[in-house]
Amino acid sequence: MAVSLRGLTKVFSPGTERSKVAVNRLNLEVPHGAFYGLVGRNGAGKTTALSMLTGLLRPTEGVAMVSGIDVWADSRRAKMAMGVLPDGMTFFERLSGRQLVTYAGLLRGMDRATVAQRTDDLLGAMDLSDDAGTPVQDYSAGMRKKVMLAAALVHAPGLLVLDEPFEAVDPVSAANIRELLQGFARAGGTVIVSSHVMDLVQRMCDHVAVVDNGRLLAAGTVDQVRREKSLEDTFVDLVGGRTHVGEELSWLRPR
Amino acid sequence: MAAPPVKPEPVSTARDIPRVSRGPSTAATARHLVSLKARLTWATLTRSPAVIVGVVLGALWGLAMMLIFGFMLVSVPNILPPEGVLATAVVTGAAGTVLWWVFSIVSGRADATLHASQFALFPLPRTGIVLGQVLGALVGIAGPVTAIGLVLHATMWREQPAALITALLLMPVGGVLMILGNRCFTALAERMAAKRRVGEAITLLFLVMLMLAGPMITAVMAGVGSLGESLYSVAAVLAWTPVGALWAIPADIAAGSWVMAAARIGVVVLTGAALAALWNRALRTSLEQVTGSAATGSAKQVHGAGLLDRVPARPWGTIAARSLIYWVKDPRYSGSLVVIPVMFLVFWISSSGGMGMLLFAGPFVGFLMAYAISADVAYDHKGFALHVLTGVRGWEDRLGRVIGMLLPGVPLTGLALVLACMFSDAWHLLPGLTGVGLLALLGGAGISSVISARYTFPVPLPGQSPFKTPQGFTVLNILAQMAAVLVMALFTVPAAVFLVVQMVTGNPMWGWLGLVVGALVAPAVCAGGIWLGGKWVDARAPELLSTVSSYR
Ligand SMILES: Nc1ncnc2c1ncn2[C@@H]1O[C@H](COP(=O)(O)OP(=O)(O)OP(=O)(O)O)[C@@H](O)[C@H]1O
Ligand SMILES: [Mg+2]
Repeated sequence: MAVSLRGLTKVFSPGTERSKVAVNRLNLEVPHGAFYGLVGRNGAGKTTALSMLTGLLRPTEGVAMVSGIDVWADSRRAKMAMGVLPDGMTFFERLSGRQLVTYAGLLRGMDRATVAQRTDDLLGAMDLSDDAGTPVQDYSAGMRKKVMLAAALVHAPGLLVLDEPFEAVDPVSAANIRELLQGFARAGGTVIVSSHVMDLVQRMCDHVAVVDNGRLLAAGTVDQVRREKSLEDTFVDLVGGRTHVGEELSWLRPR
Repeated sequence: MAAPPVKPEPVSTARDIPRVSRGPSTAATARHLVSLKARLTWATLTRSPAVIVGVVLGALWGLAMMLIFGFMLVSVPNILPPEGVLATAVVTGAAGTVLWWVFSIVSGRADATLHASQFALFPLPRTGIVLGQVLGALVGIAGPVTAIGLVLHATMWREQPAALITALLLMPVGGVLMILGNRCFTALAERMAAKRRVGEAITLLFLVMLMLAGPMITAVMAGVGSLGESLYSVAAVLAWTPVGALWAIPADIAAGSWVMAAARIGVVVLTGAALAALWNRALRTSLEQVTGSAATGSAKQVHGAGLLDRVPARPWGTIAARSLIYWVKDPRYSGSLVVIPVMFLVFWISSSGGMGMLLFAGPFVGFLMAYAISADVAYDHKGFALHVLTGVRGWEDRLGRVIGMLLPGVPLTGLALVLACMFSDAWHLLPGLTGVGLLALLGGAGISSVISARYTFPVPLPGQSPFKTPQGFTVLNILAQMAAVLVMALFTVPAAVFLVVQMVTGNPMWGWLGLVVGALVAPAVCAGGIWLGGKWVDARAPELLSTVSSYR
């Protein structure tokens, strides 16, 4: 398995009043070469789970393995095998886009010529060549996402863990990135993405996992999970919670 | 007043055109802003028990200062002749006004409580914002303090009834002038700070001014011996400036020199009008710019990977290059670089005549540089995630930061050592001082490497002003920082002992011994710190990341 999560659990501020179980005994097996979608409502625990998988957040309990390497026992080897786009993080924003991607590559111990070559390629693929010399702090939200994605790809890892990679990214760039990721998966790489766009997940991913309240509700190939319905309808059925707010907020009308 | 008759609108048009709510009135806006400021002030003061302790201590200190200052003001008429009272009144009044005006430039960068651009999205009347800002200035801490100060200030005229009455009548004018200037310059600073580079330059300039204030005051104090004339001539000039004119009017009235009084009133009115006009203009642009203080870009492009191309392609080399880029580009770091030459000047001025503090400028500069990286991980903020994700080894992370600091640190410390010996004509102490300097810089870097891996405290975030007091920073943090400084100072003892022995016995051999000890111990402490700090980073990088990324 490319990724296996066993009994993964995270409790924030345990033992206090504000104690919060963000991820609750999550089990998930991701085969090699899978394009895995992770979906769930806001606050379901996707980012928390992916952070524990990528070594950003220590689990309260449970094990996360990447190609058989325990992320929390042999973290350096596991991290070398992963490319990660974290959500809610910012990298060193006073560096230019090119510097940031170069920095990520060199930190991984790659040689300079390779890094320079790949940085150029990646910036081109992300449509950032014109802004390569601009400090990242002057980038737009979507440009930031793309440059961070480039930093995640530069060492050509076998596993990509991308938390909401398409958020704020324009349709043209999104299509380019999707094609790039699908090519990567076809060549045997494994991709895990979290997203709120069901349509996109249904078209792009071959596997999908639905989490809610920190628990796994369903997992498998997209067709297994959605059966005859669209993924969006299945998702709404699974997590419930549709309110017909339209009638309650009757004051929300232009006067 | 009777409302003019209004033709009732046909009902049909009222239905066709969607009516847009007109938003709160001027008075309501002002009330909202004032209560917002009051609540924010209260929340800042009562954030945590440690903050409350600090606030109480600070309040006691402030009270004591006010008592002393007030007593001095009140007793002026008993000591000085009427001209002396006039001079004191003008100088202190002008100083208070300048303080209010200048303070806006710092607070404008540091405290955005009632920044106009924050309200750009709400349909608030501009007059309401103006009123709210003026009244809001009174509910802070400075407001009441100034009010009391103004009353004490007025009592200086008690020997001359006419002057006293004038002063009491002019008191509110003085207050309004102070606040008006403050708001005007805040609005202007806000506009300028929107250009990031300008904002950073202002910040650095202010830092330099702050550092130079000490020696400047000493220099002024040194002149106090010949106080008499200089104070009078300073006061005579100040009494015609926008900041000082108001405070001289009571004397004019008491002396019956109506022309002078009228002229000074003219100066005050012109000042007020100019400030109001400027403020109004700045405010309008602020309200039109919805993104407000979001700094607009520096168009400067970096070619290639810049410094990252010129270091060994190892993780530690890369981190060193990134650190160095931040030392140059980030005011939170470059502030320290600017401070150092200024510090040297301060040492020089305050030890004019014979060897004094200046002699120790070298070790002190080394110490400052080393201390500057003791909060490095907190300065990285969420950027540290990149180090965690790439699995950089702890020691490489530590070593890179130390090298990045040493690249400017070694030349600066060396320069300070040499210049200090040259200016104090004490070349014979150079070896011993170099030994101490090595321990301060290298040893200090080792200790900083451990501290920043183990103990983090809130700092201004990337892109924020170095003056911003971060949320959650408490007296306890200051105590811990002092402990860190103490440890770093303790580690210079091995070489300092020899230096002291040399200064006592006059035998240069001791100085050379100090150098040898420093040269042996400093690298060892540095390496040890990098190793230990690295081990701690390896062990608890995720915890470090969650701590520092929770700062806001
Ligand atoms: N540092 C933290 N401290 C306390 N609670 C947290 C922390 N981080 C996340 N949580 C809580 O954990 C839960 C899961 O959050 P998480 O960010 O994983 O959700 P998510 O599925 O990524 O949501 P979204 O789709 O909005 O990104 C939320 O209820 C959140 O409030
Ligand atoms: Mg999330």
